[in-house]
Amino acid sequence: MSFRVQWCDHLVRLSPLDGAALDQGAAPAAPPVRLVAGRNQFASFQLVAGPVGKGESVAVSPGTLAGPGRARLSPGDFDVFVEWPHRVGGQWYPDALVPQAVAGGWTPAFRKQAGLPAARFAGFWLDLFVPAGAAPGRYSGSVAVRAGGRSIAVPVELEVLPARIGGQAALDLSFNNYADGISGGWPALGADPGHLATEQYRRAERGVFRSAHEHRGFLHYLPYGHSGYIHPGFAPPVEGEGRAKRIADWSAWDRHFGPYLDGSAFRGTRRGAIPTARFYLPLNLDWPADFVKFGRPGYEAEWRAVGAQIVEHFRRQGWTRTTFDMFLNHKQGFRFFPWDTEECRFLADQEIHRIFGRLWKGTYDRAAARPVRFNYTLGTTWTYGWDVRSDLVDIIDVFIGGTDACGPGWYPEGTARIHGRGGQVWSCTSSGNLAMSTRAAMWSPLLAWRRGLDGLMPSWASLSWGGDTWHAVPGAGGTTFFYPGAEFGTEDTYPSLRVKALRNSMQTVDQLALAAGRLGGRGPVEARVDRVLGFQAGDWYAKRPALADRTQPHEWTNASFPNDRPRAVWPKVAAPKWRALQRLALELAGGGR
Amino acid sequence: MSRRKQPGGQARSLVEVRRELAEVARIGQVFVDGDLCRKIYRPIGETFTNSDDIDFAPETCVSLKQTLMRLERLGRVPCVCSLWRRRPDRPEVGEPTLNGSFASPMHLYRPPMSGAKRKFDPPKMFAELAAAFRGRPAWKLTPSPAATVAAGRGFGAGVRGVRAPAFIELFVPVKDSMGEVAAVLEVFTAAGGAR
Repeated sequence: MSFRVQWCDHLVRLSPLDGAALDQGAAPAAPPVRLVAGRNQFASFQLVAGPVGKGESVAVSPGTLAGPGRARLSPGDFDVFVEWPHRVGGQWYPDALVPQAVAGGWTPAFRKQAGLPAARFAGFWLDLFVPAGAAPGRYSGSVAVRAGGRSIAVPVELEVLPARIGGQAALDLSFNNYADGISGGWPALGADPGHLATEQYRRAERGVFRSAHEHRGFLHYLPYGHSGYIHPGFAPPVEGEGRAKRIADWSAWDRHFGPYLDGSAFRGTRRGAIPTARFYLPLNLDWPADFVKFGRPGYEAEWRAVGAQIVEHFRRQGWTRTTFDMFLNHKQGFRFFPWDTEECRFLADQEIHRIFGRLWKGTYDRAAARPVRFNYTLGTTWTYGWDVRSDLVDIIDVFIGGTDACGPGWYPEGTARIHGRGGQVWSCTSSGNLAMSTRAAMWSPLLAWRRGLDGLMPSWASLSWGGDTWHAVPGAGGTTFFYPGAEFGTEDTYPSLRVKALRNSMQTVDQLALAAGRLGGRGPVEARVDRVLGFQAGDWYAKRPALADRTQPHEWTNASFPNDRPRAVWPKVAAPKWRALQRLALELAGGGR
Repeated sequence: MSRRKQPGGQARSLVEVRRELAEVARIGQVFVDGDLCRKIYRPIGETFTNSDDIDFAPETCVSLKQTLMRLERLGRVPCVCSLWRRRPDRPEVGEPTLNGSFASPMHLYRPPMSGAKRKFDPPKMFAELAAAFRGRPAWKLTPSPAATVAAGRGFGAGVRGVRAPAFIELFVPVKDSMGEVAAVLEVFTAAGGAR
């Protein structure tokens, strides 16, 4: 076989061993690369080049794309990544995407480092950012692929449609994780007990925030553990007690987190210096009020005294474009507190939220905090159906349910009830892993949007770092969407191929939301989506078994609901249907058919 | 009642550290209510076999938790308090029921999550815990890397002669109103690194 270059989109993954498609019913194509995109968004594609000789390197150099009139997209609008192969279940899959400038291309050293020196096919992911002001029309140019002494010009044709998505995503995309998970990615950090105060840690942390931001999401980083222990630097110091309890000094906290809240930490990203959409506060059962005083007047006094200061400080700082979450994350299994404050199984545990609901009112609720926005955010899976039919809808601002069984997939009326009270519903879901098609990741935002939800966590965790993430990604990558740059001696964070696919799906959802605005509501857009995908409106929900209404959650086990899937599931949406949906979304959003 | 600042500074002798931990334990034996310890779970959660089935009774547990937190603040060396129970369905098994500010170093097993394939099989109680349940205080030195974490969080004391990270633990019986051992109170501190 002679050396050649082929291409594919985000719906196909290619084997580094033979260049063939890893996903059923898919295949790479011969150039030209043909892309369609809106504006203020990424168009992306993959190139696979091979077979590569043993000592050869491959690199990609984007050229200029010429558009209508004098419009141009320059090489600087491209980001080029080299695809790192991972071995999962006896198969090699590309996933981590290393910037070509860091990897130096698909080199023998790169292949050796990945543990696959025999790989013959170089994989590259290319993001082409179409600026908000780009002129609609047809663009063409080429990307050069150099291997050994050869250079192949790969023609690229891009159709830019008028649709222009905003900087803020239509759905909240929470890359949820727990402090101090970031440090696990850099062994040198973990070895230093004072690492959280180091500049090296702060740079690494900022890299994760930036990467999540660039992929239309945000790092949602819970700063405390089940015991209520807050990691150093993640809460401002407090002093005094009772009504006199106060934040002693904001300066270090502001230096640490202020740049995420005013957007300056994101300067230089394609998405721009937009403040992070959501941010977890350190509020918990033992901070700022001392749990020794729980149930006594001093507990409420401390909660309200410090709360008033927090609200006032955020107001003064002008942090009004971020929503601040209180997420109580104490679990009885860790034996620190007597409630499962999230994902409870016993309905009686929800009493703690009624207690905190009273504390919330007058401290952080909309009227008290305006124009700063705080959310009382609750993780609820087993009891979701009970919660959304209870008085909790008047207390909780954001319900994070599961996906199908017990969650929003069983209770469409719950979503309506929550929305009717100004609340939000998210889904904490599963978005596949390396052994699954990228369609699993792409499905999560679409499903959330189609159910009328407000946000999602693609998985309960996004950074399962700590072991050898690059060579033995834990859980086949189901809880790892990003990779720490330590493998390449950098403090940056690198995306996965799956997070790129997830972002592209977020872009499609943003276009659908735009279309709903243009067409006067979601209904007509949903109908078009269903027609393209071959579903009926009811297919997006699972049938709730009678057992769910007859018994309480603590009587259930995971085995109670074996058939909990709706008819609309990702394996039924093959790549051609996805491509049709993407085209439809672009056209509807931009004033097409 | 403010939170006491953790004392830092110079290392103490092992004898001195043990004396301080023993003092906290002695006070704890008076103030931890053994009858409440017997009602720490709701009846439905008494004999859990997976984490999701654990169900504390807040009306008793909050009070016990607050007592543990107060005891920790009494210590003149930074320390943590935990309560242990004898499982009613497996009397040979002792398990931590309630932690103060840091998990007991001997909290070595956790029941599986609901639906997990792993079978619930907690180990029999270790010798020091068994001694305390028989009414006799017992000391334990547990080498553990977690001691570095605990010390980093302010629950450590520099102890002369203890170089590797370790926990110094004291287990004492807590009696109920009938004079029977209802629970065991563990008082511990992290040590290591001092010369």
